[in-house]
Amino acid sequence: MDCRTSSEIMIKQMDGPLAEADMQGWQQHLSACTKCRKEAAEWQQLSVMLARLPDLDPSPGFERRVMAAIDPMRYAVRQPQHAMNLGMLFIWIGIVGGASLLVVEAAARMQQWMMTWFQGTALYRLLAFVYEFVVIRGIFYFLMPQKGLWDWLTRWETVDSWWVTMGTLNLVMVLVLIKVILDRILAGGRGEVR
Amino acid sequence: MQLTDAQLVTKILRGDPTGFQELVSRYQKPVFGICYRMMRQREEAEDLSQEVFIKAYRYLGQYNHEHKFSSWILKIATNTCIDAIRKKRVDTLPLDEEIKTNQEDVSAERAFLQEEAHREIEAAIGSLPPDYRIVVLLYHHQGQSYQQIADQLEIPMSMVKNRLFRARKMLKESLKKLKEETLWTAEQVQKS
Ligand SMILES: [Zn+2]
Repeated sequence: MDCRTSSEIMIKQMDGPLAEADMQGWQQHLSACTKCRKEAAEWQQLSVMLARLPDLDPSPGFERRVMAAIDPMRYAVRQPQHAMNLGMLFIWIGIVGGASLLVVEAAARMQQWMMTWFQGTALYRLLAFVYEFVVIRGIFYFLMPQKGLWDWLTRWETVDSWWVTMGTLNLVMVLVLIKVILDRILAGGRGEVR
Repeated sequence: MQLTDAQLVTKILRGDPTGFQELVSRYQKPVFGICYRMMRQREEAEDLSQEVFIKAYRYLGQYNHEHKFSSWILKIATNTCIDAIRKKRVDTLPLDEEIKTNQEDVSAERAFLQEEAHREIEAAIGSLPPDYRIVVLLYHHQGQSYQQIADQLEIPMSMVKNRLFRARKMLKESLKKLKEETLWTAEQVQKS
């Protein structure tokens, strides 16, 4: 074994006991090489010093200071609040669902008016579809970012309920949209809505 | 019966913050040890350690039970210290403060020798660049594996090995230099 391999083994030794094969050749080299013996002693010393590195204590009262700095209510259970939220959720579904039906009704009347201009043409169908899509989805996308208003209206405490409600609202609107389109298809594409 | 770390976390997440005090008590030494040895300034280390626990509490919901809590909190400590050092834009911090330890239960002579040895190794560790210092502390003092350190620092394992390899060489060299300086000073004192 040469001194370079020997040096590598010394560093390897800091990760744990050496394999038998490494150990034998290395011991032989050490007994013959003063330079490596000296280096091995230095590594040994470093290992011991690192292993004996003492634990350090923060100043007394550290725990107390941390406990004073955290918000003890952060993970507090809000069971009654949740129950109320669920009730509020249904009320809101009712209000929003009703309102969206009204809007759809208004949209349908608007279409009847439009119909007189583009009656029966393919362009009409395309425009009517885009119109419904934009109006109905538009309401949803307008409401989406209004969380501040929403919070003010409901004073809800969980973010989750916001997404649950918006998800439900989205579903209601998609269903209404499907109904409107079905109505038109059932009307035989003659442009008669409802 | 003592609760495990994971049980304490569950307890806190169910709304009982007292469980957190136990976690602070279990991990204040390793966290403070990392902060103090990284910052080499007691007051700053205390502030940072406090920040580490506040962060841990705030993000406790994100703690993944598949990992050890000790690894998770050390990761927060590591990142907090490295961020703090980057903000200061100081590479190697001066040894303006000696890290002091309690050595009350050993004889005076042994205490002196130990104190001397501790002073030397602390100085050597303090002279390492922060990226190398953290690897040495996590591996040799906190007993983290290469894989755990790679996860904590978010670097590949080969880089952890490489840094540790170089850091050990640097440590050995600076210990040697410290020894020579001490001998030289001793000789000068004897001559005069
Ligand atoms: Zn040799």
